[in-house]
Amino acid sequence: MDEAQQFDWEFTSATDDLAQLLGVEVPKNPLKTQKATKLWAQYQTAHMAYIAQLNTVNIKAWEQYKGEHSTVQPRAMSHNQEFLGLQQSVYDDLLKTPLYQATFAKMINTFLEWLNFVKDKEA
Amino acid sequence: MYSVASLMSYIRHGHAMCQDMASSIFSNDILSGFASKKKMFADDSLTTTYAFTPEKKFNKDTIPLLILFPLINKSTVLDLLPDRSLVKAFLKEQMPVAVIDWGEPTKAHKTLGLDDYIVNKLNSIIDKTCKYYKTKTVNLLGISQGGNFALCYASLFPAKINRMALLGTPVDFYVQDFSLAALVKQINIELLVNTLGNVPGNFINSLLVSLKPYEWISKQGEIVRMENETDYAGCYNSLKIKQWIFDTPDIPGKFFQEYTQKFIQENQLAKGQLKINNQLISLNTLKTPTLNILAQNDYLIPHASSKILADLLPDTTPYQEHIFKTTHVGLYLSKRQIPQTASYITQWMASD
Repeated sequence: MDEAQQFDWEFTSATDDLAQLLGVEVPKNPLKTQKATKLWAQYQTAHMAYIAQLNTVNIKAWEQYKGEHSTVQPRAMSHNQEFLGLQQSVYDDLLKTPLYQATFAKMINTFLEWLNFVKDKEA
Repeated sequence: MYSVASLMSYIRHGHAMCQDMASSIFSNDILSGFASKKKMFADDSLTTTYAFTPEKKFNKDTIPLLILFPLINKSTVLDLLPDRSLVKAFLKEQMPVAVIDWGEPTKAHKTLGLDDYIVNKLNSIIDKTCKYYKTKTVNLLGISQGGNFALCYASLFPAKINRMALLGTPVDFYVQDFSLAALVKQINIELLVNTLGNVPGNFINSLLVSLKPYEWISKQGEIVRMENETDYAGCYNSLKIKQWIFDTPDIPGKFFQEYTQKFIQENQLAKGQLKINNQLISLNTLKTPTLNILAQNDYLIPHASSKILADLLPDTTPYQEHIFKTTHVGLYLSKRQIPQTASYITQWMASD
């Protein structure tokens, strides 16, 4: 797990992630009322649950890869075709699970609820 | 830790790099078509239909083929590269072709819905196509979601359609392992449309890419490898295809909401409950001869989703199924597959 987390992915913040995914611009200075904060917290929770699901892909693929190779260089893994293939294979199975599908939808829905509430209402 | 959205960011970053690479290597316009076409009809500021006519003399009684492409990608892919042009392949078979460019909707188009596309627009386009080619009917080729349009239109206006071919068309959205439908099923579409208005093309891209994110990263590495090995032809082809994929137009909010709720979430077409223009779409009374083409390696649309059509159409309706060894997009974009797709459809359209 520690090694898996060393991969040199270019992470962006959770907000930017979803804005990217939805193809929308997020208000730069959104409302921070009690309701807005509550909605944002709900989205954050849903987002973390989603990431937890996806982390299982990395972990399973990584365990499988390590089992098949005596020496590995974690930092070079992001462009390793064999490892990418393993990740895709594990992800294919995850994608079919109702839990993953529900988690994916919840992340988007909670983000939309927050965005819908704060849109055009910058502080 | 990372999310699919992070992967999308990564893939888009790679895409931007590839675009920069393209502009430094190639000077010509990357989205120009290659077959000779004529603007036939523009129904408003949004939608344009193009006519492609074989250069050699062709039988004037030949019924033209109107290709219905999905709204989620641009039909430019049908004539994307000189050696990967489904349109050119049909022209080689002496088949006159008409292709609809659905256009790029703005906020002004957000209230266009299923009725507007499947009835109003298609009625105008089909009438103009008949007039242009001096025929009474057209043949339809519905690609993916375009096949849904074809099925609905043929059900509503059977007299205008001679025959219909479908490529990788989903019919039953409740079949097992339909990952795309399963992902969309629980999204609050009403909230999405209320919040965003039109649905951004980026969102559609994200959904599609999120089915095979690691494969996408892998393909990006392939382009870099080709560039490093000075395989410029391969590099150019890959970049053009990627550019087309990421050139997804926005979708009118009302259309997206109606399509998603009625077709995907409620499965109304397969259940025989779908109404377009207040008329029931009854596949069990559809008489239009139908060719249903599937791709063996289609991860977007499971075979079972398309094959259910055989059970839904009446026994008396001529129906044929054919599976090609390719992918969903390969049916109309694979260099090896394109001639086979065009030839098979042309022969079936001309058969007794």
